[in-house]
Amino acid sequence: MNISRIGIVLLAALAMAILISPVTAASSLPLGAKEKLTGDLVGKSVCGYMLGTNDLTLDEISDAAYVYTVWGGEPKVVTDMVGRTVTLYRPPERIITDNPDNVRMMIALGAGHLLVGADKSTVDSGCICPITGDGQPVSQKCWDEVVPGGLHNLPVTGSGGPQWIPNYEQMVSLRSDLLLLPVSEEEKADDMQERVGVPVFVGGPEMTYESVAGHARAVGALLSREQEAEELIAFVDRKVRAVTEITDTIPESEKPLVYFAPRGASKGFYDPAMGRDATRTVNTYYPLTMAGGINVAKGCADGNVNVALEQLIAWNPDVILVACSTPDDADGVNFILEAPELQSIKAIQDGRVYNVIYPYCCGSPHDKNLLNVFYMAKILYPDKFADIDMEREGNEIMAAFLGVDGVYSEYADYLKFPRDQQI
Amino acid sequence: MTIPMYRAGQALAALLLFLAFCALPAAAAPAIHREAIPSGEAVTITYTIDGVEPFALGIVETVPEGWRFAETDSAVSTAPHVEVDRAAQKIAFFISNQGEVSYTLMGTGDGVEGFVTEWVDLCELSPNQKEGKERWHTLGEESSGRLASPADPQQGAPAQKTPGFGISATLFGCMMGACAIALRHKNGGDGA
Repeated sequence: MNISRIGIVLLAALAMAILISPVTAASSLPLGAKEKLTGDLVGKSVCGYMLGTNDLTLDEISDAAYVYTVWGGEPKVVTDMVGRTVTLYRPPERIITDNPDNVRMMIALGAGHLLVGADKSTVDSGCICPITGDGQPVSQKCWDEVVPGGLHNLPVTGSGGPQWIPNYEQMVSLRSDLLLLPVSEEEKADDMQERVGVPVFVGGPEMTYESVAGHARAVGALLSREQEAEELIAFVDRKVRAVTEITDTIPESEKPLVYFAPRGASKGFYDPAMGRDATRTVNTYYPLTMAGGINVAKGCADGNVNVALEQLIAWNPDVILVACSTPDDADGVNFILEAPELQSIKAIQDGRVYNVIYPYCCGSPHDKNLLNVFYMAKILYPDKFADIDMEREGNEIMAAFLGVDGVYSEYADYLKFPRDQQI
Repeated sequence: MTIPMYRAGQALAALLLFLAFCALPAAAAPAIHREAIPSGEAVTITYTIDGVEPFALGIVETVPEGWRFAETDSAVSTAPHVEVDRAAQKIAFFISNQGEVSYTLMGTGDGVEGFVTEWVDLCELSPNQKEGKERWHTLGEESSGRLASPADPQQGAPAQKTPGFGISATLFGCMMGACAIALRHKNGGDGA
């Protein structure tokens, strides 16, 4: 065999090694066990490792001990949020997610240190930690501490939303052992699993309160962090009860009619490019309902609703809430207050048009939606919720999801309207 | 302003719940306590594990000169997963959701002096695939008697910064080398 053939054979072998090795690692139980790890096998392996009488690595015996102790010695089988079966043979320790919602949930459940890659929306945008319009961290502490090594330093493994283009080569090179994909990208899951060679779990929240618990439980089950998931759910339930215990006692006839512009109003009435316009709403938004508002669009059939100005005038809401994600967005309130077409609306005549927290970021950020439960309640019922300390509640909520204190304070400083808006 | 009693009660309950939530350990990292009870010419050493299930540990203890293990393992310990290396004067345990294990040694003394106990939390997850003994702990040398939380930025941080880079770089280097050999030959590099 001449030198060129040796080179080609070597090249092919190395390429195969790169492509195949993650599959091998992810599809077999530790210690070469076939169907179940026994206590005898794990015990002998661990004792031999501790005594230095075998050549096993800490990674191998840790995987074995974990599977035996936490999973009962058998592969872990879970059902993802779209009904796919996901089988894990070893505890996932190098995880990539393709959307911010799953990153946030991993962090909330104490598994942020297992992230080895994430989408661009997570790493470069403000979906997890707030960022300014020109890309500067609003809370440096959040960016530095939310995952070990800093969120900015996580390798980017995909474009994130709205294009959702995965970088398969990067995913393979990071030797991940689990991929988390948003529900909106469900159709890519099987192909991604085949290309990258590791299990793909599809999951994420919807715009419902129940989905907070559903998402937490699904990711908690996947990562064997069920207790952490239940603690998070209990925390969230406790928080929102502080509002709903009061708003649930208010008769429906006394609740205000509210129009919510969840995409803001900075683009005017129509924004065909991104849909960030004042005439786009949703037929259900749980923070608004919990805060005691009646959504004027609740009778509409679809989740996202494009509204004609005539319809908005006909609804004649008592209050208009406009989502705001940057200080510049705050001008959307003035746009609506000054729009000649809307002057007959009660909310405008009464001056009851307010900024609220922007509820999207390539998904549905639980922390920001929970902020809106409190903030909207204070807007709609200033007397009943005068004693709610938004600063304290905001920081506790964001700390529960991000593990970093003081993020809400810095976010509010940046947005300005939580500081300046009279409510 | 007066606060109604029921409001004060709710606030107190919420505060207590919040404090209870905050008081929960960041992670179920176990802690180990060692107790040695001499009795005649023997000592019984007991490890008590303080942790929330599920937990798994490996423990190895190095026994100083002057002590010896009984000739049969069953006389040393009845723990389910134990191994004795008499030549090296060491005993190792695998502990899986057990609150306590013990063993007996022959000899005289307090059962403390000269003993070295090392342990590792086997349920701690880390993205680092090339771990050495970074996660090993020596009993008595830990500042808190407890493992750092998995959320501790010290844990796994190096792997987060350059995950898999060493392996990739090595393989990439080998591939480049192989390409160079192949191209060199194709371009007449071997003297043709």
